[in-house]
Amino acid sequence: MFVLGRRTAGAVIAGAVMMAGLSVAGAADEPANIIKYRQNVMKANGGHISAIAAIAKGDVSFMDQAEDHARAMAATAGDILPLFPEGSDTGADHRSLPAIWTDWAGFEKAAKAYEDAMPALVEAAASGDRAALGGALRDVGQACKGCHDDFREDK
Amino acid sequence: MTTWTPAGRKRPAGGPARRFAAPAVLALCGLSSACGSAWAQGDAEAGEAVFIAANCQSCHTDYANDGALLAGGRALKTPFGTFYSPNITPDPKTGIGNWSDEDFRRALIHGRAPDGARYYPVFPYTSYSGMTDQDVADLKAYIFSLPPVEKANRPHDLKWPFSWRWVMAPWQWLFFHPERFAPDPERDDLVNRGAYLVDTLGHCGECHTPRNRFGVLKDDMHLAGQEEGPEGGIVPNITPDPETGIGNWSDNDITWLLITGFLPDGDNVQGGMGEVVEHSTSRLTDTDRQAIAAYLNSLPPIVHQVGPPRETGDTDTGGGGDEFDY
Repeated sequence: MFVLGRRTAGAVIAGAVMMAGLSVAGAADEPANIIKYRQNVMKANGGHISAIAAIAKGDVSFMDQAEDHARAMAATAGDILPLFPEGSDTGADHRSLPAIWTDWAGFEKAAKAYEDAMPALVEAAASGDRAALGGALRDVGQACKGCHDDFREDK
Repeated sequence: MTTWTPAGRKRPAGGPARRFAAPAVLALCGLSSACGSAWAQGDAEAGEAVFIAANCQSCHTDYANDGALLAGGRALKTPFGTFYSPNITPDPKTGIGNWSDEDFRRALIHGRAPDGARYYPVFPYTSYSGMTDQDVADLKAYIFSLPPVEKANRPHDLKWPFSWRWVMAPWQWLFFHPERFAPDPERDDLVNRGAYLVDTLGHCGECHTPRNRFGVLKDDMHLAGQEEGPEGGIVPNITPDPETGIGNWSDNDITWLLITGFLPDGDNVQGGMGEVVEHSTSRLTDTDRQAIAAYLNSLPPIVHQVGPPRETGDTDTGGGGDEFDY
C-alpha cells in the first residue's frame, strides 16, 4: 500500500495551505496595487544590480558591500512568482505579457533560472574578485533577459 | 562562472605573404591591362571580427524559428512593410555561393545585387558603404568559410510604392552617395575607430537615427533616437544630452551595457538591442567597446525626447521613461 510518511504528508499539506494562502492574498489585493508592488520589487533588484555593477566595473571600491547586495537579491529571488497572480494585469500601466498566464510553466522555469543564478552571484561577491563578480552578474543578466524576452513587452 | 572580460580577440597582423599581397597584385596590374582593380586578399579569421562588428547574423538568421545561421527568412517589420532577410550562406543555388568578390563588394558598398537590382536600404549598405576594401574582402572570406544552407528566399511583403523595386533607382540616385570612411585628423585614433564601428560596421544609426518619409536618415538627428524603430519599438537617443540622451553615462556605463546588456539602473535591454549585445557588442574586443564609448561621448548632444520622459529622481535610464513597468 502507498503510505506517505507523516513528515512528507505534513509538508504537502503545509505547502498546499501556503499556496492557497498566497493565491487568496493575491486575489484579495487590488490588481493595481500588486502591479505597483511588483514594479517596486523589480526596481529594488535593479538598484542592487546597479550597485554591484558599479563595484564590478571599478567605479566604486565598496567590494565589502557587494555580498550584502547579492544576498538581498538572493533572498528575494524566490518572491517573483507570487508577484504575478492571475488577474494582476489590469488597473495600472504595465508590460507584463499575457504569456505569463498562458504559459505559466515556461514563466516558472524562467523565474527559476534567475533564482538558480543567485548562489554563484553571492559566492562571487564574497570572493572579492571583481572579474568574477562581473561574470556572475552577467550570468544573472542572461537570466533576467531569459524571462524579459518572452514575458515582458519590448518598449 | 565566467569572467566578464572576454579574451581579447586580436585582429591577426597577417603574415608576410598577406602583407605583400596587395603590392604584388598592384605590380601585376601594372604589367597586365586585363587586371581591373587591386583586390584585397580576404582573410577569414580577420573576417570573423568584421562579421561580429557588422552583426550580419542578427538579421540574416531566423532565430525566432530556429533558422540556420545566415540562411535568412527573418521577418523585419518596418513602417514600409515586412522584409524577409535573404540567405547569405555560401550555398550556390539559394545563397550567395556564386558571388564573385566584386559582386560582394558591389552589394555592400553600392547596394546593388549581382543582376544590377538595387537593394532596399533595410540592408544597411548605406552604412556599410564606408567599409574598407580589406574589411569587405575579409568578411567575404569568413562568410564563405561557413556551412552552405539550401533555403529559398521569401519575397518581401511591402506597402506600395515600396513594393516596386524600381523605385529604389531614383531613391539611390537622390539619397545614396557612397562615401568611404575617412578618419578625422582632428580626433584621436580611438574615437576614429569608434566612429568606424558605430557608423560603418555597427550601423547603429539605422535604428538610432530617425528617418524622413522617404526612409532616409536625418543627418542633423544623428543617433538622436526615434519612436518608429524596426519592429515598432522605441529606440533611445544615444547622443550625450544629459536630459534626453545618455549624457549622464560614463564610458564605463556604455561598455558595461555593450558587454552585459545592463542599463545603468540595473534593468536590461531587450528586443533589437538585446540581439545586438548578444551577437555583436559582447563579442567585440575591450578596445573596440571603449572606442564606441569614446565616440558616442564625443558626439554633439542633441535634445530629443523619445518616448515618455523619465521620472524625476529616477536613476539614469537615459531618455526612456520608467524602465521597470512590468
